[in-house]
Amino acid sequence: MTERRKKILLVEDQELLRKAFATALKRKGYEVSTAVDGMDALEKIREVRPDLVFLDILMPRMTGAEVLEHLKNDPTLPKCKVIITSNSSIDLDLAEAKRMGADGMYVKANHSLSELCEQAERFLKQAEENESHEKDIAG
Amino acid sequence: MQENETVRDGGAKKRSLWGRWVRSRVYLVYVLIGIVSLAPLLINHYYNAKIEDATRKTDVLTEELNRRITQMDELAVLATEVNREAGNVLESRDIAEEKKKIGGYLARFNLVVGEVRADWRQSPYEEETAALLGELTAAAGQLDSMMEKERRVTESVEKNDALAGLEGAQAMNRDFENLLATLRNVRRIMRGVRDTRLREDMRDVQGLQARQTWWGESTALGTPFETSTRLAMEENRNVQFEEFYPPIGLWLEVSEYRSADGVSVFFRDVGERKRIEEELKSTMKMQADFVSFVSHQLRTPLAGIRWMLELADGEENVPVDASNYIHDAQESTVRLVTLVNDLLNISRLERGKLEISPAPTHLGEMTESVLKDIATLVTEKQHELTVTGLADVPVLSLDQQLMRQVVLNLLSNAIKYTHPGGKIDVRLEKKDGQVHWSVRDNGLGIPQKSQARMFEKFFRAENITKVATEGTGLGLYIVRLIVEQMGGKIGFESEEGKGSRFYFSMPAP
Repeated sequence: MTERRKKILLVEDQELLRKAFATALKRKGYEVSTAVDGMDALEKIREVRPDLVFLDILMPRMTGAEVLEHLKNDPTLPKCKVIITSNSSIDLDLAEAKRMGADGMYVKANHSLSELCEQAERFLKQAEENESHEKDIAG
Repeated sequence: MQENETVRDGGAKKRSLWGRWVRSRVYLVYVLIGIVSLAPLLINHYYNAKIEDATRKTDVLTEELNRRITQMDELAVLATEVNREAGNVLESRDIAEEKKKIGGYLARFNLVVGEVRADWRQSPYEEETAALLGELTAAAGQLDSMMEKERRVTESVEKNDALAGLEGAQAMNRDFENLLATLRNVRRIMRGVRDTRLREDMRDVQGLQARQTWWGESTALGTPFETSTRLAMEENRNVQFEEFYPPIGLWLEVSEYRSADGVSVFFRDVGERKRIEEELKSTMKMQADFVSFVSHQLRTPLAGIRWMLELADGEENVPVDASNYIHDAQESTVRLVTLVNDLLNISRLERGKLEISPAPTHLGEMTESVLKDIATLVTEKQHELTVTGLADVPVLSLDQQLMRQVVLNLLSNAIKYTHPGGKIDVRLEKKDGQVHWSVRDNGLGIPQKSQARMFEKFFRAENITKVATEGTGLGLYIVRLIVEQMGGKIGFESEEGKGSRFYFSMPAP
């Protein structure tokens, strides 16, 4: 059985950061799609059904916080892991991020791409384990 | 010797104890405590008396003025009577009888005017008094003129000249109207004085009531004033505090201490200093807001540079020189990110705005994890590292992210400022209800004259600025802010050329 390529959605309004991060994730072999704001993100989540979302907070049109609200309250949206990537740690800390429904939070400038890719791998693995665990229970 | 005597004689002993007690002035303290406890009562009594007094004075004066106003009404009635009697003269012809009546009214009129004049010459309202006396003179003149017309009427009636009598009566009527207008004017002036005076007195009474309330509140049990007065007396302590006193609109510094004859209380106006402090606070807030804003704005482009450099470095077939340049640029970027983070943390810590999220934290495990992160730094410099007591400390409730920064800053300082091949010793222990954390090195040490300033913002010891040019002088400052904010203590001991030991302790209940 060949392993399915994991899908990651990258939500980031800054083009430079989006390009760099997407390139790094693609080099790691992930299937990467991108969104430029919260509205775009919700559409892409329905369309692509990503395994993992990197979500910026401060964005035009719809913020990351609002996207999380939708994910929490709208059962028609597919479930996925969400990691907040922000540059403003004042407004948010990890505990707050978790309350909002995210699985992790990183300040972009504080981490190298390889560190973030490692985290992506870790979270995807976690999601997979949870899934197989659920299957075991169901089976 | 004297003690022996008192032991032998019980009565003498008693007297001596009493004498000693009196001499010791302990009683003074009790007397003073008594006075302080009574103070609110006494103050209340004092103000009640004053308020009563002020209210009574107001009442007396109001009554007096009201009486004067009534007198004006009386004058108007008298003038009306005179006018009416003059009319009667025209009709009744019993001139002698009418003249007698008119004479009576006139005498009464002049008497009242005289009284009012005499009273008002003593009045403190100069302007009003002048106006009023002027009006009264005018009234007297008008009355004279009226009486002259009256005489004309009487003469005409006596001569049976009805037409002349009627003309005289009409002229008299005009004078009468003028007189009434003048009297009304006098009345108006008096009412004005009465109302002004009443308002002033009301203000006095209200002021007294406000002061009474304030004294009552300020001297009540538990207020700073009462508490410190008690402390000054009971415990013989010097007390100083600052408080805003609304009735006088002043910030006062109040100092109290026991003196030979009781308690001395000093008040000092510190309003100017308070104002400057407020200004400074708002300037500092603006500065902190600015730092915070700029730092956030810096982070996004910094992340861009950092990541792009990383991508460039990850390309295949990068020439060796270029790869080196990229690494240098990456290092600078990371340093810049650290600086921005430090500035952000400082601006939040200084404002006391950093939200501390305490969580169960094991300083031993944290130290171990930090050491793992910086293991390459230790091996690069070939330091000999010993660690003791990692497992000997309890779990504390601390902010993990901030404590990690404390441990990281102290450890990386030790590594950085120790020559290669140095000895670094990390030690944790629980003692006297505290967790003690320390790192000792045999590095550069801190010159004596720099030691006092080590935890200041932007300060770097002279000897290290020669060794390591980069460094912001923020690391230890942040460490101090964090440790203090978490209720811990921080310190160090050091000798230049021999090494340093930095330590902090956290309460471990």
